[in-house]
Amino acid sequence: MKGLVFLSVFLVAVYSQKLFIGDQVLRIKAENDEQISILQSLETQEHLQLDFWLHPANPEFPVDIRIPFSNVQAVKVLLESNNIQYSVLIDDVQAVLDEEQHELEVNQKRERLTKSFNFGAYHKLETIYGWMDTLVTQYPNLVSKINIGSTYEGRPMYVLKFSTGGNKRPGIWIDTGIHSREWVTQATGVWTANKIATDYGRDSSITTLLNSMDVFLLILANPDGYAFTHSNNRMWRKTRSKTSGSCIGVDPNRNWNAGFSGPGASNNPCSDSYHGPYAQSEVEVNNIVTFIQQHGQIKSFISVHSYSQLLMVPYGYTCDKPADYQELENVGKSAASALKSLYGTSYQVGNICDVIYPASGGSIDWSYDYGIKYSFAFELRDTGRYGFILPANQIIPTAQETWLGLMHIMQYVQAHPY
Amino acid sequence: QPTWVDPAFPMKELNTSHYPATRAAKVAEHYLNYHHGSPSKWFMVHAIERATSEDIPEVGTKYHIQFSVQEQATKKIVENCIAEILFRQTEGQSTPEVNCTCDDLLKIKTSDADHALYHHIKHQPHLVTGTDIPDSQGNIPKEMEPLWYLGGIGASFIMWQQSNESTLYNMAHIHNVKQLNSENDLLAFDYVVLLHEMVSQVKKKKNHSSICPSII
Repeated sequence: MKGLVFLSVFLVAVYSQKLFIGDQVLRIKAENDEQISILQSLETQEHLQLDFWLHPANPEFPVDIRIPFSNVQAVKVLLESNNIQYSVLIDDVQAVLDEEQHELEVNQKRERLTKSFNFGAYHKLETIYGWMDTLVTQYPNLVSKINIGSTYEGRPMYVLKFSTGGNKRPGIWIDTGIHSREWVTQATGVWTANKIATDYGRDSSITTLLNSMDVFLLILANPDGYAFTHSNNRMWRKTRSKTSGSCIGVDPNRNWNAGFSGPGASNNPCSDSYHGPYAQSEVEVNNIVTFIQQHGQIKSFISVHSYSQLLMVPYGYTCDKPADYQELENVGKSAASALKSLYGTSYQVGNICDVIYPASGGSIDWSYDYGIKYSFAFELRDTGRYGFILPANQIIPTAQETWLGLMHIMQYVQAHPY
Repeated sequence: QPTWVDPAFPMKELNTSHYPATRAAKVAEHYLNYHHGSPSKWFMVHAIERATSEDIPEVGTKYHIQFSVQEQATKKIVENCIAEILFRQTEGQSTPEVNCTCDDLLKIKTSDADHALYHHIKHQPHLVTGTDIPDSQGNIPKEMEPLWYLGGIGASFIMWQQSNESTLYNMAHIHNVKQLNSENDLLAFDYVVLLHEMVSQVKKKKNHSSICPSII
């Protein structure tokens, strides 16, 4: 016994923290007042160094005691010889503390990972996919990851779902990176996903929004193209599908079933605006269409591109204005104002056909004609000085200002159910 | 406030957010950069205040644009630019005819910086070269910035020449730049640049040479 006590003291002296190796917590059920008295007398036995978590008062309530390792046997013998019932609540207090510490460290590491992720840099596909997993782990009650299907080259297409529950709540769809060379859009998608997750519960607007609507964010809408911009050609725009001849890829924003093969799209497979052999020929486009249709409650569809600093509404396949044009233009103008309020970045607003060019087979024309009234397309910074190769130090300012525009649209959508 | 030109032919007021105005203004931007740009002076259209177009029978379409530009190095905004851009009706491509003046353009003085650059390059032991400007992440080393600007100016000449009502050009990337040997006081560079044409989404690789005289 004396040797054991000496060892405990030695251990305590070596480590700066107090350790509880082998200490046990017993839960004692006293049957009568006599047993209570015995337990109360134990409290006065200072040499036992008993730590009463629940003090003996009356037989109705359990008595919990943490007993230092060296005295565990002695106390148990005493209880048994007095026929006092007990059970072991904690077999080894230190083990519990160690587990707690480990969990704390794991959580801190996770938080550091999501917080230390450099949102002001462009990342490879694998890095973004890895980061998405850490976001889901960090915010399991808000964020989940849905695989909506594979790309031409077999990569998964992951949509992040932001939801606080409910049963198929109305949703808002946002996609970035459908044209792979528009790197600021994927980077904005990552920043935005993080923004939504971290602001929920802290910012009243996003909290109110997510209490009645879900947000679906497809950060890499063209993963094959994105991988190719890293490995081979920074200026790659299309998918990587092999159709006919020697040229690869289809323009995924000319491939939707909306005025397909009309103006502004090429039937030449070598063209950067090749519409493809038929509408929805691209599995990437097909995956999104299938998801949207199966969901059935998407109320807003927002596609994010770069560059030109534009906020556009349908149509691109015709210069005729959609029935809801006035309302959409108004929402767009207010959203552009909100965006501009941050850093003074000017956006032009209007229908695709008049603002930039006639362009058939586009995503927001499809979504609008499908019945998703609040369909918008962003063209982010800049206006041509850097163009597609926007310096990484502009990612966060771009994402921050775009967020104001997106929030305006999303709040409007929530306030105008249909 | 500039007085608006009295058109000889029916004039159409253009929406300043729509592409006919923005494409014409971009042509004026290329023209300005070619004529007034330098390794420390690069203009981008800032805002279009007013735009009109005249259809001139048998000739083409003439645009009048009132706009402001922003100089990219100093961030100074130059208001009251007026440009007249004539796109001729021709068989193939023809260079748009441009007249463009901005009130305070000449107030942006970069001659000191340009002279300093000239002397710096002139006294380098080796011929200057550069590749991949900007890199994939959009980075441009500080010492390469003047060469990026210079490349942009040279490219502006080509973009101006190649423009019509169905194009919108920007310089996307400089593949490489090589300083050429020159026996006289001039500095000469050979560039391979990538141009991005917005409407067709075509990327065009172009070669151009820029001459940097000792007096600008």
